[in-house]
Order: sequence, then C-alpha cells, then structure tokens
Amino acid sequence: MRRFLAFAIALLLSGGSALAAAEKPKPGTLREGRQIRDLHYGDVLFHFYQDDFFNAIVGFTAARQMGRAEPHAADGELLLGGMLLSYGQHQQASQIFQALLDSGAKQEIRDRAWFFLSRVSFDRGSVDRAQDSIGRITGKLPGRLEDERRLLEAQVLMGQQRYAEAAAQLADWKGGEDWAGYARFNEGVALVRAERIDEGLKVLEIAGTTGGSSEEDRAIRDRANLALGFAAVQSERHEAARAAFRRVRLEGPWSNQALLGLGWAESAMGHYREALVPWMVLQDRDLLDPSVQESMLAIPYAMMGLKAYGQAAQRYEKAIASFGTESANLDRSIQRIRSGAMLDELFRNDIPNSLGGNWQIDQLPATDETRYLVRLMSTRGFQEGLKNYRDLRFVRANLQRWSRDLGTFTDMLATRKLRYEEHLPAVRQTMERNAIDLALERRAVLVSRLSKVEQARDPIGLASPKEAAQWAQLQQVSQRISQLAPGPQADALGDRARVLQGVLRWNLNHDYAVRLWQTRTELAHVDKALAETQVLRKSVVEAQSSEPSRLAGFGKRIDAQGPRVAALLERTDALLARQRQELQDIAAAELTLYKVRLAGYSSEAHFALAQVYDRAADKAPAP
Amino acid sequence: MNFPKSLSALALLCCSVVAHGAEAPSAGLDQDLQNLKKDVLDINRDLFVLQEDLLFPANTQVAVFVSMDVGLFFALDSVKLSIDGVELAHYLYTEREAEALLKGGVQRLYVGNLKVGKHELVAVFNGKGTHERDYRRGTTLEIDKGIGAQFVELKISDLQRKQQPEFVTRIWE
Repeated sequence: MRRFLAFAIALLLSGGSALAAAEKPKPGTLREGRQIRDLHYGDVLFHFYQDDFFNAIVGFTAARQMGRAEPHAADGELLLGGMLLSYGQHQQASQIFQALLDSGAKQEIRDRAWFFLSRVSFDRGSVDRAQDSIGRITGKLPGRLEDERRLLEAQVLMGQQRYAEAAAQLADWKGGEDWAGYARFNEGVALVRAERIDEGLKVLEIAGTTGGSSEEDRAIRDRANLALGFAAVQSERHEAARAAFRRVRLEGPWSNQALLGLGWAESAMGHYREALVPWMVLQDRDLLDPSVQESMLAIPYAMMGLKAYGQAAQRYEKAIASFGTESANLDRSIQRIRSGAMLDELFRNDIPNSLGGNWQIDQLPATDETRYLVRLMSTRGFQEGLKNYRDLRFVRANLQRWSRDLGTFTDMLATRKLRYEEHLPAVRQTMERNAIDLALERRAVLVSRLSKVEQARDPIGLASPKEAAQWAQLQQVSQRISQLAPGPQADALGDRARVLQGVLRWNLNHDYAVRLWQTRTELAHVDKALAETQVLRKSVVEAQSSEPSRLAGFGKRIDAQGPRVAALLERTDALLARQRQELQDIAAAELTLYKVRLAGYSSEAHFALAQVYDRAADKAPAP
Repeated sequence: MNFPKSLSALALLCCSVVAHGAEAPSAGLDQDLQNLKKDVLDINRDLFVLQEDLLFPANTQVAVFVSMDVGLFFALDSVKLSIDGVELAHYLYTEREAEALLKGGVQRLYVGNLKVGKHELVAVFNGKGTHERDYRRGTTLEIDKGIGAQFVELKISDLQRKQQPEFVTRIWE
C-alpha cells in the first residue's frame, strides 16, 4: 500500500510528466517538468520526499493559511489528500478529494482525485464504492499512475469475486515493468479462482519464472510459484507442483509453505522418502509457523507410508511434547502481555519522532516473547494497532513540546512588551522634534534654489562651499577696490580682481552641466531617503498605536492555544490507554489462537498415535 | 490425517494475500484516533503560523532556501550561510535530504529577521564535483531588504556548456 501510495504521489507531483522519482534525470529535463513556482511549496516537497509526511502536511496547510503556495493549489491538495491517506486519515483524505471534485477542478485533476477516492474506499473495505469511483475516471492517468489504476481496478473486481473480468483487465499487460510481476501474478490467481485452471497455471508459470532481480521481484516470483504449486496439487498435477515449489527460495518469507507443499506433492505421488526431505528441513524452524506445526504431523504420516511404525510413533510423541511445551510458553507470554510487560519492553528504547513509521524487526527487544512478536507483527490487526500506538506516542511528544514552547512564547511576549515600554518615551521624543518635517522644509528650499539657478543659468549657484567663499571674497575685494582713490594702482588691482572673478566664473560655467546633473542626482537620493524615512515614520506612528494591540493579540492567540493543547493531551492519554488495551487484547487473542491450533494438532497427533499403537498391536504375534 | 484439507487452507492463505485491503480495525477507536489526528494536525498548523508570526514578523522576515536542478556535476555535502559576516547556518546534508533536493524539494535553510537596508549574503557550498573531486564554491548576494518578507533562493544547477555546476541566487518577491 505504502509503495503504491508514495509512487503515486510522486507521479502526481510530476504534473503529468512520465518522470519516475527513482529514475536518474537527464540534464535539463526537470527544469520544464516540475518547476517550483513557490518556495514554500518546495519546502513541503522537501519534507515529503523524505517521507516526513507530518511536517509536509503541517507545512502545506500552514502555507495555505498564510496565502502561500497558491500556484500549486490543485496539486498541493492532491498531495495533501495522499499524505493523509497514508496516515490512515481516510475521512479527511476523502473530504479533500471530494472538495477537489466539487470545485470544478480540471478533468485531469478530477481523474486523479477519483483514483485516490477509489483507493480510500478499497482500503476501507468498501469495494462497491471503490468500483463506483474508479468507474468515473474518464481519461488515461498520467505516467505509471495508469498502471496503478489498472491494478486497482482488477483488485476491486477480485474483491467483488468477478475473477474473469479481473483477469481480462490484467491480460496482456502493457504497463510498466515495475508492475508486470504483480499484474501477472494477480491475473494468474484470478484465472484460478475463475476456475480457468489451465490458463491460470500458464500465467502463474510465467510470473514465477520471469522478471527482474530486485528483492521485490524475487518475492513476487516466490508467491507466484507458491500459488502455482498449490493450484497444481489441487488439480493433481504433482510434477508441475514439485517444480513450482522447488523454485521458491529456501530462505524467503514463503519458504516454509513451499517446503510443506513440496512434501505434499511428493507424498501424493507416493514418494514418501522424498517427501521427508523438505519436511525434515522444517523441523529446525519456528514451531509457531503453521507449516512447521503441520510438518510435525506430516513426518510420521510419511513414515507410516514407509511402514516405519515405530519411528512414526516416536515422531508423534515428539510432536505432542513439542506442542505441549510451546503451549506452556504461550500461556506465560499471554500472561506477560496482559500485565503490559511486553509493550513496556517493546517501547523501552523507541523514540517517537515520526507519524506513521514502520516498525523495524531489528528494533525488537531480545526477550522470550520476541519470536511471538515477530509473528504477531505479520498480522494486520496487530501491525495497525502498533502503528496507532506509536502514532499516539508521537502525538503526545509533539503536544508536550508545543506545551513547553507556548510557555516560551509567553515569556518572549512579556520581554517584548517590556522593551516596547522602555523604548516608547525615547521614540516619542524623537517624533516630537519632528526632524523629518524640518528635513522636508530644507529640501523644499533646496528645490526652489535649484530651480532659480536653472532658470537664470547661474553657475555661481552651483559653486562648492569653497568656491562660493572665494566668489564672496572676490566680491568684497572688488567693493573695497572701488572705494580706493582712482589711479594706476587702483586700476591694476581692479583688473586683477576682474581676472580672478573671470577665471572662477569660467570654471564654474564650464562645469555647469555636470554640476547640475550631480545636484539633481543627489537630490533624487535625498528624495528616496526621505521617502523611506516617511514610510518608517508612518510605521513607527502606526506601531505606536497598533503595537500594544498587536502584542495583546499575540497574547490572546497564545492563551487560546494553551487549553487546546491541554485538552488534546488529555484525549491522547485516554486514547493511548485504550489503544494499549486493544493491542494487548489483539496480541493475547492471537496467541490464544496459536494455542488452539496447537491443541488441535496435538489431539490429531494423539489420535494418530493411538492408530499407530492399534496397528502395532494388530501386527504383534499372539501370545 | 487428511492432507488435502490442510492443503486447501494453505492455498487460500497463499492467495488471499493478493487482494489486500478490507479488514478494518476496531471502528470506535479508529474513528476517535482519526478525529484526534485531525485536531493535532490542525493545532500544529495554527501553532506553526503563530510561531512564524511571532518570531519572524512579515516586515523583518528573511528566509533562505536551497534547491537543486539535476545535479549531475555536483553532489551536495554541506552549505554554510553568512549574512553580514555572521555565520547563521552550517548544514550537513544526509543522503536522503540530498535526494529530496534532487527530486524537486526546496529546503528552507534559514529563517530569521533583518533590518531594512543593504545586507551581504554569502553562501559556501561543499560537495563532490565531476570525477568525485572535492568541490567548494561560494556565492555572494547583496540584499536590499525593504519592508516586507524577503525570500532568497540558492539554486544549484548544471551548466551543460561548461560541464560544471552553476550556483545561482534569486530573490523572490
């Protein structure tokens, strides 16, 4: 399911391009394919691609609330729905997909929404609703999502026991190679269930002998060979069954069933000695496995076939003893489960740092119950319960963190209020002096002067302070010369002053255009600075009136969250207790079932043993 | 012992795993759990927004993002970010994070506050270039921070012409 989902979401993000997440991209292909039009949405994807769905969901919904990620709204909603789906939030996910459909989204978005709605329904066991939703898809889905659609459609049909139609849906698979093994396997099973045995065996044979070399490919081949083997035994094609069972890997997850089946195929052909070989291999494996339990009885059965009655009797006795020991172990474990010890041990070193994560087998504690735990974890009910329990632990840790952070926010706000109150008098004083208005007045005077200089084309008006001082000094000198008694000395001084004035004016006149341009540029800079200052002043004025209410608003928001967090923590604790109880009940019930099965095999062994003794008694010579 | 009976049970077991789905967990508990998770996601969203509003007000906020396009000529190991000579982030990437960037994710490397005016941003990228050679490149950007949030993207892309990575900075409005 998770593989399906992650892949599907990755596809929907590609915006319809056939780019698979795992493929190495070719240079330049991504630029057009999935251009990010909003950085915050990109950040959501950064978390999403690391399977950190929790932060991706929170990031996207927060971005949406803050008016960000708008350019990716439709794709984002699909992504959100898909991630919620992976968290088991089926109702929320359905609402999102339904809202997309109601919003009149584009047809390609609608098709993808229908696909996901179908998946939600199927996972919730509503096969008919899944059929209805998938039937509403009008076009071809993008990329490999189309393969998923075909597979889902076939699964839905199988869920409705419409096996022939399911097989037809999968026949002649033209989709991606990634799904080819699944498709052939499901097709073969559907054909067998439709009682088209010959065709089914043929397809399963292909599924069991072709495909890639990844672990997933090998696993699907194992399953195909196993299904083929059992179907062949049932239709009394024992040679074919033997060949299929032998193809199943000896150390894979399906090997116990294959070994048992291989023994039965041999035994059905009267090859009791050959049947003993795989069954003996099973003797060293975990007795909790039904195949191993069955082999405990199958071995003496074969020995009976070989007329080795004494050995058969010994084997039955050994089986009875083993079943008894295991049953006593189960009793002890059931007791520990009920006392809560097993769960405490299991979660002792678990750090709840993600939502919806998968439990790793290598993280299991080394206790007497570990082998039961491994087996329990292969059952869906226990696995779901465990996942929910871990989710709740994560939720509690998350809420506890927010609870601490809210305390910090409150302290931070109090500090800000204090700082604001401390700075306010100084700010008010500055504002009262009204330095900006004075600067504006000076700027107006400057503009007026410049305009006069321009109109009169007066280069003296653009003189530097030093030049202006020189000009004024020359004016004064000329004035004083004019007051001297006429004569050659006064004339010479007057000529000299005029020359100097002329040089200065000539210089100023020469630079007039450049100086005018420079002055205008500087004035523009002043204007810009003044405009910024005015904006700042406006914000300071606004802040003076709005800051207290802004701070009070934050205070209210923080205060409002406290009780929400506390109430959620309370609900979480209550649910944790319920989930824990349910988990213990599931585990105890499952182990009790093992006990019942063992008891059944044990009584079967007792009965068979009695038969062996009877037969031995019949054959014994009369005294 | 009747072996065909056992056999058919196993055969069913083997095939039933194909059509997965169905078998819903305990309805009441599941419903309560879904409701709780929904409320927890909602409050996380609200608290996220509150935290952002409180710590990084829109008029002073500056956020720096890292993205990658293709990445054939550069494998990212770390990024060091400084603004006005103050080191603000030194981030080492895990393989998973680097992959997330390559798939199209954009990392929010830093979020903080800056005063209005000019600031100098320096980012130094470390990683492996072509032929597994250590590669270190810096890029500088002058930010003219106005009133309003400012978002900066540091983008690593492939420069086909020169067969080497290119480090581009972009300011988003």
